[in-house]
Amino acid sequence: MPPTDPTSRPGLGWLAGRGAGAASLALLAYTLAFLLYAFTRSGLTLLATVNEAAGLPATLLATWVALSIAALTIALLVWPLAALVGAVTALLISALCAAWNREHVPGRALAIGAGACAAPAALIALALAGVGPAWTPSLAETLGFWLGLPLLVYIATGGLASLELNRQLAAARS
Amino acid sequence: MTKFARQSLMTAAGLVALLIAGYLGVVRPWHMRWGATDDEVAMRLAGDALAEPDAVASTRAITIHAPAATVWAWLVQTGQNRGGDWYSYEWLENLFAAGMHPVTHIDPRLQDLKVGDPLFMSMGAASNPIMAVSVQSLEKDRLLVLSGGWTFALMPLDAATTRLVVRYPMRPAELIHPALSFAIFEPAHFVMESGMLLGLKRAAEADPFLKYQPLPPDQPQEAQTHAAN
Repeated sequence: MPPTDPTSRPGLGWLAGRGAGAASLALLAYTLAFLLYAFTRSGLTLLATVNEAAGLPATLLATWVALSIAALTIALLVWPLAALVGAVTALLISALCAAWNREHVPGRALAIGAGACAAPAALIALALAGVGPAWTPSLAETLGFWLGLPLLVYIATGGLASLELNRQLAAARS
Repeated sequence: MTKFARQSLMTAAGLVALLIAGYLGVVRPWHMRWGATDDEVAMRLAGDALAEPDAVASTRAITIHAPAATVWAWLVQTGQNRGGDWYSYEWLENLFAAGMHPVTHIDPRLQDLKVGDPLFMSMGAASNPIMAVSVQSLEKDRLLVLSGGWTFALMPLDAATTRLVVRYPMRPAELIHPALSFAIFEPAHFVMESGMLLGLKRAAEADPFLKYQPLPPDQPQEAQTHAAN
């Protein structure tokens, strides 16, 4: 439960649970966004050429269902890791806010949340630059999908979750 | 957990259950034989003997309004290491570091496919053989059998129309574990293989009676490459 005593801080379990929940929602949102993109692109291809024996509507439906099954299964496999990262990040953001945002300033909470997530993202980017892969459009697509966009979602989720935590703490205090 | 969160979770669980039931009951039985007739599903194909006994085979087919020789000319260019892709959804394959690029023309240098030649599924296949298949047997303009019994059979319906029947025997542990093979590999394979058949149809029908003609052997190889359109 969020704290109702203005002098107290939220419990670690509550924070970790909320962080895991936020990360799970972000993962679901990313998966659905990918599916929307995949539905659109595969749909355009299928509209261009039709297998007469199978029919366009059935092929479209089967393609979209098959894409959904595969993508949701992959999301399910990644879910425990995402939830763990979300829980740890929530604890980190809470500790940073307790140290640097006792006045519950929304803008600062947003910056702390986004910054806390941007730091590991920057480390990953630096590590990648250190490895020095031979950049090709194909590699950029792959890394963008599996790393770049998820990290942007992570940073945005961190900022918004920190803002929401700050709102709840400020409401409890007032 | 709030009432709204509980209701949202129940709704999501219901939708997922509906999706799984719809997939198992309707979509999967249909996509395992996408476009194929009963006879084509039942027919013995040359690659069947290479399939593992517990493999679950899909049989998919498409009618292409082009002669078998034209379809063959495109088919033998398949492979990331050959023409550049598998005629399917490159944007989707490249999300998995496949390094595909579109095949835009018939290249005479790629027409001499031989038994044992590798076809890369991904650009990393040179160092990771699991990402490649190889030619097990072939018959020009008629048949291509790849590793594991993956078979492409070309059946001329008339001088200008070809039936392409493809059978893929999926091993139970095609993707690490049978559950993963079933939930990820099999639906993904349908998407990619149906995309490939449509891609071949699109390519072959764009120039059914091939402007490409192999030049005499004394001509330089480079001069033999012609755009399909």
